[in-house]
Amino acid sequence: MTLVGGERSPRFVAMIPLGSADAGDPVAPVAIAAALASAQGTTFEVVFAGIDATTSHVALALDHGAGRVINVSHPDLEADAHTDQLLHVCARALTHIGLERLAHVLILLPAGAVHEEIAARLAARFDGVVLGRCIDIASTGESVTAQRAAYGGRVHLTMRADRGPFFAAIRRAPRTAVVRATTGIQARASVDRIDLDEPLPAVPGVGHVEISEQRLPLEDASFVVAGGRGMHSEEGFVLLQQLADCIGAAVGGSLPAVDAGWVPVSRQIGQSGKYVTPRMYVAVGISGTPQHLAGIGPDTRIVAINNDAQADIFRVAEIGAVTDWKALLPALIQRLRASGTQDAAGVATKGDADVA
Amino acid sequence: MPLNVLVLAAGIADPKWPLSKLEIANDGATVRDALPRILSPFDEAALEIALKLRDADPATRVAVALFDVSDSDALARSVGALRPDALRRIDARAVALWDAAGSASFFRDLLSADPTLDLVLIGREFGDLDDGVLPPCIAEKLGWRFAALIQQVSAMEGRLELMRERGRVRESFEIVPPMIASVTNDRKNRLRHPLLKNLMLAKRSTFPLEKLQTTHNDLQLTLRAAIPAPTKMRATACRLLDGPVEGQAAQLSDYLRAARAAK
Repeated sequence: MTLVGGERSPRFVAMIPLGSADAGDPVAPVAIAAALASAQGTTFEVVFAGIDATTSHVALALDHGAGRVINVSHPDLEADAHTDQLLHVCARALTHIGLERLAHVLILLPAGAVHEEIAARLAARFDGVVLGRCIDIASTGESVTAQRAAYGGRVHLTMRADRGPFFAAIRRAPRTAVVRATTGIQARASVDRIDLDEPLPAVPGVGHVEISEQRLPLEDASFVVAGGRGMHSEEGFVLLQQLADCIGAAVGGSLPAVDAGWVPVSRQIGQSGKYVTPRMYVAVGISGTPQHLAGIGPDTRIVAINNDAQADIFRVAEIGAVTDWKALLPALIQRLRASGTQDAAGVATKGDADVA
Repeated sequence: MPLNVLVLAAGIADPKWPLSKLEIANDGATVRDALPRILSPFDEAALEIALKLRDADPATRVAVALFDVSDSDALARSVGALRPDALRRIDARAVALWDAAGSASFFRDLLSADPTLDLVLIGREFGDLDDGVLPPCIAEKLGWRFAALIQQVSAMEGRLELMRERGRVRESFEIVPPMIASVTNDRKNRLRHPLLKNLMLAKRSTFPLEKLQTTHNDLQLTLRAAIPAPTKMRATACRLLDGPVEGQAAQLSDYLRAARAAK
């Protein structure tokens, strides 16, 4: 992340919508708001909008040195709220901080489909600028410069806007930003609570059907096993699931595997799918396009199994096997089962994972 | 219920080609890559959903607005072969697609010109430069209902029934038109192959590029650079396993168990 000081201090706001299954990583926007504010010798605000913030949410804000913490909530909002209703509460929260009167405000949200939709709709509603899912963001005077991926992750665009409010989604905080802001102004934070009581917008009734799979969610897994076009069929994913069961991994797939219907879209990993940060990623039949690699955290160790020795996945893998998965996977599963690794207690979550 | 459906499609640079010639105009308002275009998986999914709606009710009208940046009309022909009821090929250089909030006004004006529209389908990412924020911006500018990451749509008794999967849950809901839905790829909406006769018909057709009034005066976000993404590469070479498959399986098993044990 680039930190650039300026003559006129902008206002930095980390906005964390609460009330979506698409939780995202709330640390990322808070850490970046803290770092940007610290570089400019100013404070930043954290706005929790939706349902009630927990004490750990408030602690996250205070630990990063927030000058002000606001929790705008609505009693009728459910934990997995309709996006229109969550958007309504977020918009009211921004009205509360006086956004209409402020042109130079940078509002940072956690990345994720719902949050990125909210960022876009808030930008349109408040006549602002939406920067998208940013890799890097800097503030100089009244301008904001942001970098994000384009062309399916093959290109990094650098964009500049001179008039806000600016809305950006942050997928992960650069390591340099994941620190408590120890420089700059350490204001004594106040925590304001605002309870909305006006009716929430009417939304269509949503029917929910549990999908039969009871598998580990990708987002929480410390091990991920993923398949790509090279799996050739849905049957290959049965083997991947068996391998995943042996090592306590979640199963995902690349876009071509989703396209082929071998893995559901909710398990797509890549630029246009999920971003995962497991400790270990086992890529089977995946060539390693930039679009796919854009969905894997930089600290993740990659194991590659591919019969094409020239596949790009071997450029990023720690260990690889240039062989046909149809021969290797059954032998590997048999080995792991024989060694007694198949253990439900071995299923690990982010609690024991390295969070990128 | 017959619907008036518009598909917004943009195409993407064919990923088989290296991105060697990416240029930004001096005003930061145009980007050119000079690469062949193909439909993105999300364009294809949106098109297929529209065609399925017409299959279900032949009175449904499917129009396509294709935002093209190439000098060739090859992309338009691939869409034309699917026989939409109308196909416009619009010069995408009129719109700064990386500036979603700024260009949403352009789309609002375009869509407002047809007050009979029931449903606008658009891929979850629109072309190479949008990362998914354009569709909700357009909906917000129009004041229409928006639903994201939709996988199936059907029409019934004046309402649209939509389905999407989120995590372990399949959601279905009904919305009264008009609305905008961003569409994601799914096995059930893989684009059909056109009939050979329609392919031949499309090859003989021409699809002139419409140059609409530019939105660059509304540009809020200027492009400063477009560079190839840094290649992820390990500092040390990948350790390749060798020997017979059984031996490789044993080595890999040991490696995974060791990693599993290391908290």
